[in-house]
Amino acid sequence: MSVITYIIPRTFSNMRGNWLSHLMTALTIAFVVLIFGLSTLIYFNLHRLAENYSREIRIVTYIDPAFFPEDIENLKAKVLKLHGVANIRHVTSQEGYQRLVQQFQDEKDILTGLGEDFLPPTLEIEVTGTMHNLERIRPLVSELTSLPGITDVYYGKEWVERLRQAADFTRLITFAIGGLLLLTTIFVVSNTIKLTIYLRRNELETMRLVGATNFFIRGPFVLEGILQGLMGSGLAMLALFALFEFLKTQVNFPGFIRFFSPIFLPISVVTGIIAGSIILCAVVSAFSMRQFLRV
Amino acid sequence: MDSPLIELKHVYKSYEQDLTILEDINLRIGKGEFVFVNGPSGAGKTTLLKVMLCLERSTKGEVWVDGINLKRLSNSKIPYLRRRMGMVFQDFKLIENLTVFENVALSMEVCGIKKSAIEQRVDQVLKSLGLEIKKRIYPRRLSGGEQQRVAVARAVVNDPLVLLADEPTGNLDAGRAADIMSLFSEISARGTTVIFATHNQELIRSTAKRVIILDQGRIVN
Ligand SMILES: Nc1ncnc2c1ncn2[C@@H]1O[C@H](COP(=O)(O)OP(=O)(O)OP(=O)(O)O)[C@@H](O)[C@H]1O
Ligand SMILES: [Mg+2]
Repeated sequence: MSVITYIIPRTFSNMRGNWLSHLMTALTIAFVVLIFGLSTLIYFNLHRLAENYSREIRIVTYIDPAFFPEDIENLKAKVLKLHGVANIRHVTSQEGYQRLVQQFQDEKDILTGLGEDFLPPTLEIEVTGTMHNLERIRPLVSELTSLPGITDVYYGKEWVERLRQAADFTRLITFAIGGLLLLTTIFVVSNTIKLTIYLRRNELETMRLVGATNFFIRGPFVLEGILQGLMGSGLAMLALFALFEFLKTQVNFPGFIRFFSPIFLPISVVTGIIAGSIILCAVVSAFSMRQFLRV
Repeated sequence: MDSPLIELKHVYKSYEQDLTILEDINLRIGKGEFVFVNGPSGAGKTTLLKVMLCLERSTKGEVWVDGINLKRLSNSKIPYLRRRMGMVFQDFKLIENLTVFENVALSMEVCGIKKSAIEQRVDQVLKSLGLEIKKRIYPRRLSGGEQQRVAVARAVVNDPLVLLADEPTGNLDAGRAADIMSLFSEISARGTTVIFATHNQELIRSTAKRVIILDQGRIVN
């Protein structure tokens, strides 16, 4: 009842009376939430990329070129028995050379002077689904390395690990920015509220004198905080989306992730960020009021 | 008077340790009674009223209002006590950025009363105090006497159980003061207890009401 007839109109009149500081507050919240959102977005996509990569983990083992075909068949049988191996493909030196020729179609010259058998033969090993994880793949790799005839094992570990590290790092940054967001919001929102309270101290005092409850006095300020959180974070999410769409058209991804298309934060995360901002602002407003609610 | 509406038992009030503002106040005021509180400036009249409204808590002693021991009243219950008491403040305490109408309506709004009921009642009270044409005006554009009448309007608009009036006629000419007096008498006749603090001896002599005389924080009569 009093929420509609009193608290809402009062909130708007409070905000009108002090609109510049409210605008600054909303913009500050928007800015911090934007940075937080950006960092979350980067983490989110790096994480996806790392996941994609580990899903495609393939082990390539180089075979001693002096091995005879029947030795290779032997080796294949041994490898197939290892835990986690799904499939094996033997790639001969010649096949390897043909692949290169196809890859360098226009720049075939690069390959002139290299014999068709300059590449060692390899075994390409597909791992089973449960092995799409660096920790699980390491034991398999060391088993492979110890097999006679295998000279080298390559499994793109550097990339996957670097991606993982980058993802972990951005997650750390995201947490740090989240903390910063918390502090900034607390500081800015409570200052705005305190300014409003200061401007309206006589009014607030008088309201207490005529029997207003704390809920009634606090209501407009909490609603004000909610609106600021909503405006600030909503604005930030719109800006982040625009920035994302813009960057997508501008940035040329390096070859190895050419086929990865970054996606925007899922709606659940966006709603979470907005809801979190609203709750934070409301709580901060309610708390900044506390000292004025003594009797 | 068997069960008084307001009762003070050995009430002391001091802000600093050694400075006593109210000293051993004992009072019993009945329902619908009209009482003057008289005494020189600084005697403690305002403080006495503030203690009754729970704006100040007594340092020692008991204050009872309508069967409630104010010492036991929790902060969250105070608003409900104040809604049943109206106070005309010596310095009016009007809200600058609200109109005359809105200032008076505030007392009813905080109680959650319907808008239509508020409008009707506020108009009625403003009219009885000769303020209906000033309804849309902001307090700073009113004369001192007009502001005082707005403060009176706000205090009586809820038909309070107790009306605490702190120098409500201080800025008024004799005619207006008499108007306020008769308004208060009428209210008190309808059952509201009126406590009227003033140092205006003439006003007190013109009526035959009970008078409590304070001097340096003590009741001296
Ligand atoms: N908040 C306060 N802190 C300290 N002392 C106070 C406070 N309020 C009032 N006093 C002191 O209490 C005494 C009584 O003040 P009070 O306002 O009750 O007097 P009064 O009888 O209403 O005077 P007047 O007729 O001038 O309004 C004064 O000496 C005043 O200085
Ligand atoms: Mg006084």
